[in-house]
Amino acid sequence: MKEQLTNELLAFAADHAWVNENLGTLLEQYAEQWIAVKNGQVIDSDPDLIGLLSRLPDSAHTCIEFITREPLEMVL
Amino acid sequence: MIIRGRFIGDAPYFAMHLRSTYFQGLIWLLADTGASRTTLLDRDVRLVGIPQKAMEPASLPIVGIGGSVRSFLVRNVEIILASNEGAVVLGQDLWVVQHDLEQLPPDEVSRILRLPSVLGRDLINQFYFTCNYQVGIVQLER
Repeated sequence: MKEQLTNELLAFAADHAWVNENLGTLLEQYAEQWIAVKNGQVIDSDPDLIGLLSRLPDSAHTCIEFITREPLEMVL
Repeated sequence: MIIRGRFIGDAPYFAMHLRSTYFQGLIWLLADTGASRTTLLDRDVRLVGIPQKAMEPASLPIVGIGGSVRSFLVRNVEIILASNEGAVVLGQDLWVVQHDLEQLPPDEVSRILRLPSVLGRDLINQFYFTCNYQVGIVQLER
């Protein structure tokens, strides 16, 4: 069980890194949209986050990111 | 035991699995030594599906930058991180901050939903924390 969780966490982190590494390509197809990514593949997209979540079978275990050209400076 | 994070752009992030009586799921958090508490923000509340009944209004005020927010506590959350020696399990209360999105224009809502949850000092300080962007290493160790 714990090994499965560890693998799931590593895959989840890898998917977030994949989005960052492929941002240029993703912008061409998914600009201003939320995307869901599993194992380095976009499995769904939607301009509306709630719309995307309503279709995903397991949003709690899926990498979800917003693809945009708008820079967001975060001072947290 | 080392828990490795990743730099996304120049920002350090960690993945964790949360589990409570009411919800469970994966969270992607920005490591933020400026934040006293690990805090879940609007997007992750939706992604993981934290129900209102799991959140009790926080008795302490949260001060941050920008906007009106409501703050809550989620009690007894099991936090699991992936280390080089397997899963690391921690347990504690987590903070939740929610903006009143219905009162905001769509552009502002979109920006707020892009904000990541933050891994604060309550968890970071339980470890030896390394954040070295120059060599690409961000990790928690003990």
